[in-house]
Amino acid sequence: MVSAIKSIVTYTILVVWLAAVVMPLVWVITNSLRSSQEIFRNPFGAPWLITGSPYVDEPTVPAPVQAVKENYQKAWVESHFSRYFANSVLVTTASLIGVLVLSAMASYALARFEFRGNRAIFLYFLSGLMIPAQLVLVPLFFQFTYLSRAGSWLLRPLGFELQLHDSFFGLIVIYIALSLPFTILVLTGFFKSLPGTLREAGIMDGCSEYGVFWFIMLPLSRPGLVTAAILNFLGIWNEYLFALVLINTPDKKTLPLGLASVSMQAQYRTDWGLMFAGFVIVMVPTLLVHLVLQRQLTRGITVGALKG
Amino acid sequence: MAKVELKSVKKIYPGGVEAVKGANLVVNDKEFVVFVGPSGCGKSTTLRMIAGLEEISDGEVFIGDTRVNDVPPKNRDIAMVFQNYALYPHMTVYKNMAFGLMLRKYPKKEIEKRVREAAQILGIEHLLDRKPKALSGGERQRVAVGRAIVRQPKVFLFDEPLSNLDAKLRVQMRAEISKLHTRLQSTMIYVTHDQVEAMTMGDRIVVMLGGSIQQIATPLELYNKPANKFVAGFIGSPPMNLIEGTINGSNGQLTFRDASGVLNVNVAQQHQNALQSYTGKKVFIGIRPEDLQDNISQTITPGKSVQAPVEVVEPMGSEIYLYLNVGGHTITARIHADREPEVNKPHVLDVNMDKAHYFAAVSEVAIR
Repeated sequence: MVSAIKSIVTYTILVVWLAAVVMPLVWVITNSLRSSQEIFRNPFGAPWLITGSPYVDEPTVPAPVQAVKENYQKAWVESHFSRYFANSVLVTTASLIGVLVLSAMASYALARFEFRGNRAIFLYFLSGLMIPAQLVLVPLFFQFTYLSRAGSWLLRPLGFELQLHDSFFGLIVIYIALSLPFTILVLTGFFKSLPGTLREAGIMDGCSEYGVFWFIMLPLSRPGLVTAAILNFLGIWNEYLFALVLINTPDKKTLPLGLASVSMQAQYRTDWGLMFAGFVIVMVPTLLVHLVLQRQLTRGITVGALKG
Repeated sequence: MAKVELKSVKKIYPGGVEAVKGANLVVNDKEFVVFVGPSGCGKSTTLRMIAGLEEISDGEVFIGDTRVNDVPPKNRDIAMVFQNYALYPHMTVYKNMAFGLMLRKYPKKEIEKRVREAAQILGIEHLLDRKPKALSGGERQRVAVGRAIVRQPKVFLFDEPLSNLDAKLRVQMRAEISKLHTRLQSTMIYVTHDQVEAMTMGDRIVVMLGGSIQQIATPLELYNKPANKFVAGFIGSPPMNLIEGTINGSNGQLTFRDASGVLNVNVAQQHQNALQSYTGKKVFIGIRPEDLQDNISQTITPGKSVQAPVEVVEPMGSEIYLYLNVGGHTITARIHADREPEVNKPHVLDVNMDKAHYFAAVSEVAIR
């Protein structure tokens, strides 16, 4: 009896939780398939695309298929989401590669080698987790100004200019720096959990330390790298604050900025269908990354390395 | 193939802990030498110094004629089999075995030939496409050995390779490694804490304790002429009975008497000379369980027999291990399987004093 009540309570909580998570998602997706008129008439209704339009004869109400096409077309082309999407992909991919490469190497050294200052360096990285991003915004802005000047002065003889404001490079540098503490924390723990004798076996087989890292430890740390990649992807893909402060040129906006500008325009001209389509465009890669990478999170990849 | 030589090799860890206290040893070409000793005796550390996985604090290590103190492990031309196998879990068995050769840029055909040959020797040809997680403990151990074989190194190092296997498999793999040595005719150094493995596998055995080499000898020499009390007690199963007592002399006949007086036996003729100077002094007597012979008629012969109550009877099938309480000490005897001793009843055993060993009470070295 007690266990039955326990199950009912547990499942009720889970169902409510599921609904709280899934409902907004479904609402956004369904509304992205509806015209603004359709949304205004019944904000929580099913799309006419499925149920069929009750206003077939009214010329002012767009046909369901037309509405879907218009929403996404407007979002992708007229509202420049195609450009924002490409910008976001570029910035996120470059940042992820940067943060994973740097974190993996730093974490491996911190986890596997004993050297003077090891603990201090690790704690220094961790301290980054304790500083709110908002706090560094203004100092960083000025730092970027000085760094850009200094960098340009150094690079000018080579025919280069260093521009950290209003550039993808500046944004990528910030995203890498902000993601390092957490990623190093995750990966250091992961590398520590890998058996040390694998390194010794690698060395006996003829690997250098770099070879051990590259051929043995890095492939084994895949679940850790995937975890770090997913979590960092979410943070970087949806990042708004730094992008808002640093990016001015409309062509360099990332998706969150693009979405924000659409919603700001909504003060004067409300096109909810377009906005929901924009939400979906932002959301889809996140869902895809989850679906694809989560499969890679195969636990127990080190099974078989050591005694059973 | 090559000989391995250690000259006053020391390992001192930060904090001053001396794990190996000046080891001197020559492992001859094609020899199978076993390092044996209890946990923390420095045997694995010594092996790891030979491998290059531990820095040598002092002394020199030679492989062949080359001093290898500063030679990185990959250039020492040695292969090592680890206690926990240390197979690469993301690689197939084939790749695990081929990895070392790939790194050394061997031609693909040569790699394939060597891996297949090694797999055939070890009977793991059918496992080459599997990943380590799909293998049993014994199979993983074979792959680990295979990984060492394909390299055809000058020296093989084994660090307690069988200690994770069950008893039956251990016996089987023990024989296979011995066969492998005969077949490959290479220098092998094998570390174990199991004295049975040491006795059955080694051409010579190095017994270690507390970072020091206690004795280097062939298995039989070690068994019959232990250098000190530790070696005497460590080698042999069940272990040698070691009892403290005093050497007494009367009428030209020396006797050994323990503190309780229960064990009071005449010293054999061949030991009299060596023990003369110990008259009135404390020594340890060492008697192997098989040298305590069952007295069929259960009659006491003064100076030769010992009578003591039976504490435990362990029938082993082929024989019986008999544990008796001699003046507060437990001694072990191996008697014939068809005997029926009773617990708590006195039992008479005859001591084969010709085979007795004696050790000085303080230094614990053998008296010969």
